[in-house]
Amino acid sequence: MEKEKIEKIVLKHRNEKSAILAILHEVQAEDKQLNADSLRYIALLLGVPYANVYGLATFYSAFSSDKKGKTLVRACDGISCHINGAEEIIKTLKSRLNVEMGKTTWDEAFSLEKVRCLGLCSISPNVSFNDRIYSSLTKEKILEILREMTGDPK
Amino acid sequence: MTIQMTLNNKEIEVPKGLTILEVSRKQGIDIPTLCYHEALGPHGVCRLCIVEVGGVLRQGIRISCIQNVVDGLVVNTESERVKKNRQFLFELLLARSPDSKELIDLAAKHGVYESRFYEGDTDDNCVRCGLCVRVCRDKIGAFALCFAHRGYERMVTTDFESLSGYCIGCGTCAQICPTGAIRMKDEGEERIIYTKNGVVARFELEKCDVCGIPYAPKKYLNFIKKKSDDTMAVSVVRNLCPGCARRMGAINLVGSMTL
Repeated sequence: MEKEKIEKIVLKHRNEKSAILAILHEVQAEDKQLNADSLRYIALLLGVPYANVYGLATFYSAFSSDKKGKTLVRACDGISCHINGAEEIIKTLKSRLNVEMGKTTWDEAFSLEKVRCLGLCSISPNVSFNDRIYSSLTKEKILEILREMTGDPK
Repeated sequence: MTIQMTLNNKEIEVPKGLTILEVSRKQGIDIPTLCYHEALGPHGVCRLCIVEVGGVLRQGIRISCIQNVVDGLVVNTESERVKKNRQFLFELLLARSPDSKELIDLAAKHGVYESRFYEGDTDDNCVRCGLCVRVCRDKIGAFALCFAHRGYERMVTTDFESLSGYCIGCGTCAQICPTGAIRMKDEGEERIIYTKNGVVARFELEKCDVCGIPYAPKKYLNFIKKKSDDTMAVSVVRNLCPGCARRMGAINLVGSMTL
């Protein structure tokens, strides 16, 4: 990401070291990735050793050094979702978006991720598109949602 | 303030505020540890220092490097339960680091010769005890090492898993590593710090002013100079190898005495 944008985000948090997670979140949200150059620049601005920032950014699964798609699709495959048919949903997502688990589509529109729990086991199976969670999914429902998302009538 | 406690069926009186591990070592009882170091204090990750406690505390297994002694405590460091648990821990550690000579020796001492969990795809000797990361961060203050990734993938590495610009080449990490996962060697005029995964840092060595033998990286010397200037108000002016420094010190001392 451009240095000016990172500076702006860091300044918004008043150059506070303690706000590093919030800063990483915002940079990740804007740039869809946390590459080494961004991390180095954040570390420099905050006066934190590179190693600390690198440790943080690799620890949390919310951060990724690979470029993510515009929409982050997180399919839950926790126990409740799994027995309520998450496998079928994930299979549909994979074939419909034509992407492997943990990868991004060629046009950088979607990234598919498997997560362990979204905290909505009672209305499983769940899939979240960015911050919006869709529940009680069936194959038909997920196809309908994807049709809406992609604007593709297939 | 002293307290009464029982250690391996022996009544002893010990000062308050010590941990079970410290008391046991003072009494000459050997408890194996990997992540404990006197300079750094307890960390509680290797779990090898487990003992069985009873008396005023609930009967059970505790890690002795963190548990403080209390009045009326009963400790058994070699009970069957402790041995069984510790052997299990050794098996887990051996599964992760099957090539480490230090770990194999320590495990053999406690009757473990092979691991049931060995899968044959381990990449290093590191047991993730965290000593190197802690010593680099807390004692040296170089911040060259960190833990990266999470869970099974957790590893000790430099920033961005490349040659570190923060490393000063002091070699403390290699010296403190209990399993020999980080190593350091001086080859000619070069110091290399390396792990099984590759080179961590590479330094050119400065030569001693007197004997001309390469002995320490320039960055390390500058680091020490800065630290001694800051804290002791004494400036180290000459580049001397340990041998020459001793000799010069002795000459200075004798000289000042005779004068």
